[in-house]
Amino acid sequence: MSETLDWVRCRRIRPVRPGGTLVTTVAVLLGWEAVAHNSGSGWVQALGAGLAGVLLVGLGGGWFALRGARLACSSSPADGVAGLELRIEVAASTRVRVRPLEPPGPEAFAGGEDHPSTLVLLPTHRGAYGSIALEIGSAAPFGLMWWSARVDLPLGAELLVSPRTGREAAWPTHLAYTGEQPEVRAITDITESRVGYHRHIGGDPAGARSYEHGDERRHVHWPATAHVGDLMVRHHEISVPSPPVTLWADLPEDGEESERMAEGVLATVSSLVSRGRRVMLGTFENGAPVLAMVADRRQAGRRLARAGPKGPWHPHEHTGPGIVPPSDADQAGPAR
Amino acid sequence: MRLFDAVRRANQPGPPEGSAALRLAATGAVLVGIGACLAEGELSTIDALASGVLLCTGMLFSHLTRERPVRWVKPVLAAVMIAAFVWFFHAVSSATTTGQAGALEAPLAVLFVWIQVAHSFDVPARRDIAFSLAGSAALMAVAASEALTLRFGLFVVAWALLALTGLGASWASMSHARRPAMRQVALAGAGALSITALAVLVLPAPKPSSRLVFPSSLAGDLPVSDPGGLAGNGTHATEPARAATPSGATRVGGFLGLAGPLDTALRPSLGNEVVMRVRAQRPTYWIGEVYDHWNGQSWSDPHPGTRELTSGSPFQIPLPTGDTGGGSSDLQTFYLTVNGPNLVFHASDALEVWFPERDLYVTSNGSIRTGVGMGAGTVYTVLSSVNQATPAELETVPAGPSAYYASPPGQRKALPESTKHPFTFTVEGFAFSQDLQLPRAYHRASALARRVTHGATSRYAEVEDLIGWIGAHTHYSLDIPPLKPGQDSVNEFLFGNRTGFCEQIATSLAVMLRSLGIPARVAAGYVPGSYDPITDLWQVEAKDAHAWVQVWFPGFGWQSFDPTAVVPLANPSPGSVLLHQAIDGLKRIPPVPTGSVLGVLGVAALLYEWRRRRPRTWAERVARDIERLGRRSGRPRRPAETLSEYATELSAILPEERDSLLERARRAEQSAYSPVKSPSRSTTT
Repeated sequence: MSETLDWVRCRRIRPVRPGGTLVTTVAVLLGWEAVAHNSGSGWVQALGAGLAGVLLVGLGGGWFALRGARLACSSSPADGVAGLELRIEVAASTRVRVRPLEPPGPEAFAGGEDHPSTLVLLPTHRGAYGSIALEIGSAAPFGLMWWSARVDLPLGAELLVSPRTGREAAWPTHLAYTGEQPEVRAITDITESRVGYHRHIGGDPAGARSYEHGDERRHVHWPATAHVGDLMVRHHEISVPSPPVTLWADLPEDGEESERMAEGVLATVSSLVSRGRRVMLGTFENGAPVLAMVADRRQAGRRLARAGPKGPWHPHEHTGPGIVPPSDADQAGPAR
Repeated sequence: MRLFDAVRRANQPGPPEGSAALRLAATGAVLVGIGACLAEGELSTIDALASGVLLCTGMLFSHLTRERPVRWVKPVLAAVMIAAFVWFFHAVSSATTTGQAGALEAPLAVLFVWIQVAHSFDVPARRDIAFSLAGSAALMAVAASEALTLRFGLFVVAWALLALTGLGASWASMSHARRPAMRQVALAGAGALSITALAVLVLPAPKPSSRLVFPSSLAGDLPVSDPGGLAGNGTHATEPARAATPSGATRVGGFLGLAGPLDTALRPSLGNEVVMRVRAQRPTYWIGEVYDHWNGQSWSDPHPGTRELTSGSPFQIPLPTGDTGGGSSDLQTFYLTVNGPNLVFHASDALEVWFPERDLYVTSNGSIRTGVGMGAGTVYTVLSSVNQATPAELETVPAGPSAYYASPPGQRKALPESTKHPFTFTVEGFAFSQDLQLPRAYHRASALARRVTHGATSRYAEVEDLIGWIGAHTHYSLDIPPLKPGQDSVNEFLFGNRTGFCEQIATSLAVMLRSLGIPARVAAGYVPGSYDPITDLWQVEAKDAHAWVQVWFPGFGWQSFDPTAVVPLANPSPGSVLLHQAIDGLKRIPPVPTGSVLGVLGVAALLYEWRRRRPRTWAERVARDIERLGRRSGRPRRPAETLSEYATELSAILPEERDSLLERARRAEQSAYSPVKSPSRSTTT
């Protein structure tokens, strides 16, 4: 058992629907003892004592099994999509039944011979998960009565479940088109913009220049090289990038409505990106605004996974270069 | 509708169970249950064998068809089960009408077994297999109700192991594990065993009193030559018990009583053989025979007033003459393990007897005899009245040869006192003469008794004084020479070596009491024996045979006193004790297991020696062959001789073997000492 994993133990272990089992057990034992005691047979009474021992161990064994059980997540993905299954690997010190609660998923058994066990999650909603809620159950050693406990199993890395890709037409007025807005950068410290800078060759040919490390070989301008006697490459006039589309996802409090809206935002972003448009996505994380470029659907999904409703934030307190307040976005028409 | 849905849901077949371990364990558990019922006599061999074969077949059939159950099986099984129930109710009603309601366990066992067999053909799911496992517990319970010995523990252990394995396999199947976690099952088994031990310690002993029917059965049905008399008075060779002889044991463990007169001249060595087991509410002395006629060496019971009871079971036993009745009731069931005397043992006074015969005989002093001999396996139940008065109550009876009407306490009236010997007086028609009878005038014993009881104010004090004197002045020993014919055992014990055993001690007290005019007699039977907490039975061994004294107390009836209990052991001679201990120790060794262990150890030692001595290499084997040949030819090998030298010497003696000898010796030496092994050693060998 690896000690580098983040092991968790079960707390607040409770029996699962114990009423019928306990009543049956007590009735069987009392009946047996009554018959044994009044029949005057020592062996029947001894057998009854043995039966009591087996039943008590069988009924209470699950508690001991869960009490000693340790669980850890040995592997988990970083991304997921609502509605699509994703798999994590769980290590358990003993054989237990694992039922994912949040995000939900089908029950499975972990531990024992399986090292580790694969657990399927089927998230229904977007979200960012640092841990997953599991119901751990055991009826060891005889399968007579189930005991269960709820544990929060920390994941190795945060799991970001992006929303489903909804219908583009469904996107509401919370998306804004900024027209000729220049390049916009993240405005808060908590942004996780993954926009990278890379050398780009494009535009109209404007001459030749000396070769620099990193230039592609196919851009070498052979006539100029022959003329100059040094390696020359074509020089292009870089066109001014088209202005980004800024979208603000101001999601409502209501879970389902929020989910539907996030799905619409994701659909819109995907559509824009696929058409070559640059998209600046504004979201609220823990109530604070985050505005950053998104390069593809995956980035947008990650952002929307964390996105929540607008908190106690006032646009005038955070205005500055590049800030597009939601109110402005609301005034703009939908992007097409 | 909801109820209907719930019933339908509950009866829906579960998913097919593929765990072979679970199915095998359940099958094994049921087979062990069937075996236990067979061992306890609740199933015939035919039934057991047939049900075992069918059970295995059914389980195999269920396993093979678990994915696609065969439709016609269920109706057929339902019909079989209905037939089994019909047969069961018929058997029960027959038993009830014939008065054999106690024999319900056997039909119940048969019913359970055939239900299991029928069920085994339709066991596709885990829930069904669990039913089989639970059903095996019911079979074990039925068998346990008849189990009397610890041998049943073998079945319990086997069944428990299989049941635990099955339960562990059930959890493994439930949790989709490939195999049961045997370590977990072992831990759980240890926990269950601990709880079981605790429960056995805590639970009160079972009480047989609330049974509706009491067990009784007769085994053997051995003839008794004198109905109403003791088996052993006749000469019939097949009598269940014969009067003991000084040199040989009788069939009741060697005790010189219970099958004829109680000879006090000697006591043969009694063995550890279990003669009977007793299920009782409380331990007490089990009375077999009460003797009231003393001839100086032997006690006998001429039974002049024996009554024949023909009412059938349960027999209502009349109160013995002179007894007052009353006291607390006590129920005992006796299970004979050897052929016993034709005596119905009981505690104090018997009130009712359950015995599967039409006739019983009761003597005037309360001994109950059967008209047939009782073989091993006979069972009978007795409801006794234990009329044990407290010392304070007994102190109310004044000392001396007085007698009182046997009337309720508080209404006692003194009878006319008779002071001359022989004391003969009557109490409401009860003749005491037999219980005061002495064959001769015991002047010394009488004088001793008067001296010892001088100053005693109550009869109880007189008895206690005499017991105290015996305890202070005599010793207990089984290792004394037998008395000569005609020698009086009381005089020899009280005024001779003052060493004796229970019969002599009890007889001395009875004779001294009689000499004082106090009615007394000697009872013979068994002390309770050792208690087995598992079977809840008292195991009575042959050496538990005992004799004690019954003294008549007006208003309280016959009260038992055991003077032997206060008599210290005689100072033994070390050699004799060691010899006896050694012999007893050897007798206690069970021959079959000990012999088996010794046999296995011997075989192992032989194997070890054979492996140690056998030649380890081919060269060594060849050398040994040549040495053996040389020894047979009268030319053993010298210590300093090499094999080649020895072969050369031998070849001169055995010229016909010359080439073979030299070649074998050369190759053996080459094999042993050369780095290049001989290529053809096998052919040479």
